[in-house]
Amino acid sequence: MSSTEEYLEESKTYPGHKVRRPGSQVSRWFAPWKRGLGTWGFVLNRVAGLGLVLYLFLHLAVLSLLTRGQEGWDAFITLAKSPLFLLLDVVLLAGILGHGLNGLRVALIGTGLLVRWHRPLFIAVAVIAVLGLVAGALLFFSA
Amino acid sequence: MSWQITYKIKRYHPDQGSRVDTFQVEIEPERTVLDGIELIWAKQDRTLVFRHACHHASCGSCGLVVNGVEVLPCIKLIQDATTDGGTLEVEPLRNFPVVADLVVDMAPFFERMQLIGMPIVGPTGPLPGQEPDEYTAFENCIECGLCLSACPVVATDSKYLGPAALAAAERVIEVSEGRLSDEVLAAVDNEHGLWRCHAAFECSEVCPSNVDPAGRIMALRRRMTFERLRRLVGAKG
Amino acid sequence: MSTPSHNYSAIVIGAGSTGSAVAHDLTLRGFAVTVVERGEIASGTTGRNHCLLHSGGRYCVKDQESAIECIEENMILRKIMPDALELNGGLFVAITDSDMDYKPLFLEGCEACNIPHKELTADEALKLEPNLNPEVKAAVWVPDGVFEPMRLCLSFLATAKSHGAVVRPFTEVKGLLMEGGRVTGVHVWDRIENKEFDIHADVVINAAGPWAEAIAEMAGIDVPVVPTPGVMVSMTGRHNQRVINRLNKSSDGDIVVPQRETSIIGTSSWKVEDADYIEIPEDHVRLMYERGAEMLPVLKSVSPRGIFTVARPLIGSRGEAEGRELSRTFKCFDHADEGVEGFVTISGGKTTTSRAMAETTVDVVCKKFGLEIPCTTRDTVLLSYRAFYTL
Ligand SMILES: Cc1cc2nc3c(=O)[nH]c(=O)nc-3n(C[C@H](O)[C@H](O)[C@H](O)COP(=O)(O)OP(=O)(O)OC[C@H]3O[C@@H](n4cnc5c(N)ncnc54)[C@H](O)[C@@H]3O)c2cc1C
Ligand code: HEM
Ligand code: SF4
Repeated sequence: MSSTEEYLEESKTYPGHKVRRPGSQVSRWFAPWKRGLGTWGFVLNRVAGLGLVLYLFLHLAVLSLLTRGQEGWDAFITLAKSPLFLLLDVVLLAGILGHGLNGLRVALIGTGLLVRWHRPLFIAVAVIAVLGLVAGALLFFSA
Repeated sequence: MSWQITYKIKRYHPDQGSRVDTFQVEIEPERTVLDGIELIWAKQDRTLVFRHACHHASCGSCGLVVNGVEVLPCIKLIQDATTDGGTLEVEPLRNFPVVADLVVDMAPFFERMQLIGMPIVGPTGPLPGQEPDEYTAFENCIECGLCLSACPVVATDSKYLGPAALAAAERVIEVSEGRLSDEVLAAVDNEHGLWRCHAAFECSEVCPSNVDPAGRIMALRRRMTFERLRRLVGAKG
Repeated sequence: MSTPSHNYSAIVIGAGSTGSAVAHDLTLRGFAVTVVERGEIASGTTGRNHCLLHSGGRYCVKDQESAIECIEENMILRKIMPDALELNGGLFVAITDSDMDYKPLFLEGCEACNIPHKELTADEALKLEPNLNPEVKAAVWVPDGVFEPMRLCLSFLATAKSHGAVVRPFTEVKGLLMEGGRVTGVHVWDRIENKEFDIHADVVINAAGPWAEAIAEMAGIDVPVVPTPGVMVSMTGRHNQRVINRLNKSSDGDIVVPQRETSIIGTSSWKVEDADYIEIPEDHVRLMYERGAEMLPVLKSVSPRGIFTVARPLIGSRGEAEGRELSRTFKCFDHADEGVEGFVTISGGKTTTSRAMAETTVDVVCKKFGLEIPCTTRDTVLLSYRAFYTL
């Protein structure tokens, strides 16, 4: 990511005038409104990817509880079995499924394969992800 | 029968900063969003600056963001953009340097196109002495820059070569049987080149000329990926 | 080629095809040039015209001087402006008996004006253009072409910039600077920064198209320009590969120009007072569909993509006696004739003949300064329009 600040510079097209160079607009990674399916895919993938990275860190933090002995870990396991936590697990699963499956789609079209099918592929990804999610949720809450 | 339309136009002047001005316009639904803007300039506010020339999607100069999406206002009929009594929010293209009001400096776009060097309008039909049926098709990109504005990757990487130029590069290879000059190749096969694309396909969504730049970028990637693979396994030719 | 050395400066008002070509010619003949245009390049008449690089066929019966000018300039532009033209060629098609009666006159005209042409049978024409009316009786091929008006202007201006010209879009002329019966510059309003200032020069050239009358008025001179608009309808999809003209006397809606992804039907003619915003008469639009479909019936079943209109800068008859008429097709006025020095107006003509108009104009300007510098624009290949943005 090249982070450019908004700045003024001399224009060649309009001599004698300064133009305002736009700065880096990270917000546009998260703005799929009014956009096509491709952008929804891009945004969801990015959000989920970042979410997964966040999860990875949390996960490591939690694992580090192990180094502090039995009690802390047991307390955590009790917490982890609460419905709220199970719900968070479902969100995690959504992220993994969404990102993983869409990742396969992006890898395919990014290599120039099935490019024309990027919209149906996205819908397929969404359908499979939802089915997987429902199955996963049932499993979590029934266990 | 005229419609009553509210235009909310983003204004910018180097000294005065930005603001949004509201104009009430009476205009027939069969006329275009650009006609409405020209009408505002002609009858209400001579200080409004905007770009336009051909009024039929061939020059590529009038591109704007209308109600959040990149369009060529010259071929966007009022009746397709809103309803009677409706509102049109008009902003300049994104990802370009803003000069004033709705005017952006297209220089960054044409620098990229010049680098690739693909002529867009060219002698494609029969010349005197040639048979009339030696006509060949020509390129459709009108160099409007809508794709560059719509791209979420350009939004954070101002060095990204962008959809139109990459599509042109793919076309150069197609018409010249596989060859790009070293300079062009260096610009294309690069972290700010074709590998930067994240397949949001927004360029192809907004392109008014059905160029499908995203599709061409992916075709270019396939070409380059397979070429690398071939080299990796040591195949010749 | 060395640039002629003298220190004269010039201001060109208007960056349509005329002003752009004049700026280019002036720089080649050693002038320090500033172009002031109130809008974007080609935002006046030029940008919105029918985009037909005339072969002269349209004029070869009634107005042979125009026709000869067109075919000459058509051939020159092919050489000097490679990337703003689609050289599609054109057909004049005969649909009715009256069209067939016109055909021999047309062929004679082509001969007389040196317009390359080739007669085609109905079958040959239909094979080339399958969407033609199946009633077509015969056709004649001519070297019509299609230009992209904005890129045409940008090519001239890019080349002018490379020779030192300063091109200022969004700079509107509000008044002429006068000193003892002499125009010494312009007072302009910079619309980007919303401020006014003066620019001085040895000569001011008024190339403001349909607005030339208003500019001339600023010097108290009467150049009667009658803004005469025409309607064009750009259709969804490209339905012909060559320009399709009706093989008959010029009339409304008798040309369909293919350009990139569209077919454009045009045009008509009426008169307006104010060329800034023109209402489009409904009946003219309907006429375009009807007349266009007589040649290409498919046009009846496709939707329009854009309907637009713009005014021709036609010179009225009032000033003809005073003005120095240099050609029937366009007029260049040296206002020294009316006692105002340093001021020249060029108007009329066509985008196809813009280079020739510039040659004539700059000849007049050079003569005013006693300069004998030949015009070299015929052989100077122009830079790409893209260079306008990168120089
Ligand atoms: C309907 C129609 C169809 C046509 N079709 C064709 C065709 O197919 N082929 C062809 O060759 N020709 C065609 N023509 C003719 C051709 O378009 C014109 O002859 C030509 O464009 C005139 O160019 P110009 O530069 O003189 O005028 P313009 O292009 O109008 O340029 C004048 C410029 O001056 C600017 N200006 C005005 N006032 C000021 C001011 N105060 N300060 C600064 N700048 C100012 C304007 O903004 C404008 O850009 C057509 C004309 C019409 C009307
Ligand atoms: C299931 C296996 C996975 C697959 C197939 C996969 C695939 C991909 C692909 C193809 C991209 C590029 C997207 C693009 O070009 O826009 C990507 C980006 C990314 N991935 Fe994954 N991924 C997987 C798992 C993960 C995991 C487990 C994490 C986190 C720990 C992760 C984090 C990220 C991040 C942060 C990005 C960058 C986001 C972006 O560029 O928009 N991925 N992934
Ligand atoms: S590719 Fe399409 S959107 Fe991009 S500049 Fe060309 S015509 Fe415009």
